[in-house]
Amino acid sequence: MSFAADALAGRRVLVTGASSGIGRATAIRLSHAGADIVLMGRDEGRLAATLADCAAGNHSIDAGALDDADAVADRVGGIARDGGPFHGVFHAAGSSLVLPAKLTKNRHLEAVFGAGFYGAFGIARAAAKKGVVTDGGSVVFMSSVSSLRGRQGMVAYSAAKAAVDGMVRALATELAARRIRANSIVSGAVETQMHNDFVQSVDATLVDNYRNLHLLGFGSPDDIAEAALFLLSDASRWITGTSMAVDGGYTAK
Amino acid sequence: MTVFVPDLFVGRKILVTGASSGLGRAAAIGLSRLGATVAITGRDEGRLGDTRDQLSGDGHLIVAATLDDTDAVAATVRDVASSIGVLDGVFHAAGISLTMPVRMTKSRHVADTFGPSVYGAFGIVRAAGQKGVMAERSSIVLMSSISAERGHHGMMIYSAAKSALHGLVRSAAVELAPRGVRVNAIVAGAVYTEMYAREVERMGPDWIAGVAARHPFGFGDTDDITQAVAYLMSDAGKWITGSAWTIDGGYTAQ
Repeated sequence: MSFAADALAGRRVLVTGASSGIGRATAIRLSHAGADIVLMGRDEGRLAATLADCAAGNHSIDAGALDDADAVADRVGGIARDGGPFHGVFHAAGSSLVLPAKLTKNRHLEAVFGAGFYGAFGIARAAAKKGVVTDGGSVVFMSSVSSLRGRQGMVAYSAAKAAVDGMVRALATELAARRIRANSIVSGAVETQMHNDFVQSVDATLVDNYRNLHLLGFGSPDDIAEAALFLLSDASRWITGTSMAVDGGYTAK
Repeated sequence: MTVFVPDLFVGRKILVTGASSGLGRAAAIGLSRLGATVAITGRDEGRLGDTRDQLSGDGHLIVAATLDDTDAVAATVRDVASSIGVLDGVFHAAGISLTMPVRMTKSRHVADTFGPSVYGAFGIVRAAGQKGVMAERSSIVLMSSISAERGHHGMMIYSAAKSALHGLVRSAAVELAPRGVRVNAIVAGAVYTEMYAREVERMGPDWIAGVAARHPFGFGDTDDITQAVAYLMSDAGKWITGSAWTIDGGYTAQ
């Protein structure tokens, strides 16, 4: 491990999307750096399973939908009021969508913009209020290479991720007075359950082509978890308003 | 540097260019404190000695070298690898900052600015592409600047030189990926180093206040850059290549 076991000792971190995939891996990783984690997601059972895999700490779960900005802001504000402010937030909640533009309807947009963007905005609003994120804290949002690169079927998803990156730039300027930094991680394709389900449903040539879009092949959830840890730690205290590529070289090509 | 395990780079060999001062010196010291064996090069042998005196541990190497010629730098990097073993990392901080109005821009200003930073980078990457120089999972980090993305009066040459590094990083990353060598750039905002102190003498205190004010978080510290270098050199960064990481206190967010 590259980070010290106490890199986030005594710090309270909110992780959304902690039921599975990148959110789950990150919650576990942060717990091994000494953080106390509040795990948010839709599925209480899977949140409990993530918590069980975390290193010992003052962790808790809070299950519920994350697709309404006001509801997320209120709930996060309430959790901070009850248990103390957060040093950091890692927002991994959200769903992907592969659908041609000609078939993409309003309800698809609502789904893909839901937790991924509206939920992100709820986090942003909460962070901007007093008592939710401590001064000098850090909010990290999951984005994607789809924010920067277009591919067939990705029109709605690309828009949602670009929305997150646009939000991060402006949010950073609003939070700067309190030295709270806001950044996003521009992720390539990471081998999560969601990814594996997709890969198994299409033919091998397509998977190879998809993998080869990345100089270093598919990533692992840990690659993102480590970057999240970096961005939540004091090592990144001067980094704000950026979208950091952690993408196996996808955007180099 | 306390976020990392203290033995992060024990057994690893890292070359740092531009180590006479500023970001290069700070990184060499920081990486040595994490256990790395460092080879340091720079323009000023006296100040390289000062850097060496501040390194933790022993076994480090001072390399007297010409830094502004691609062939010479490639040869130097090969020599360093021959001396201390295959390199796990190279941090290329060599380069000068130059403010020069466009109407006074001469060939030698362009050569002096492009030489150490850009031509030197070509030399590093060339050596990295050859056998026996870089370890199988290794990392090259090049110093770039917000000037690569934003224009300022007097910064035409510097902006162009730093911008050149971004094109270099992308294609070098593509070509070196099969060799297991990652290549990334750090896009730094204003970190208060000796380079800035010299500019203050020329440009005045109002200018420096203006620079700070354009960063939502004000001036950075050399440690802010060193920590990102450490991350990109470490196993935690193993899936990061061909990227430019912006570390600028929010400058380019606006």
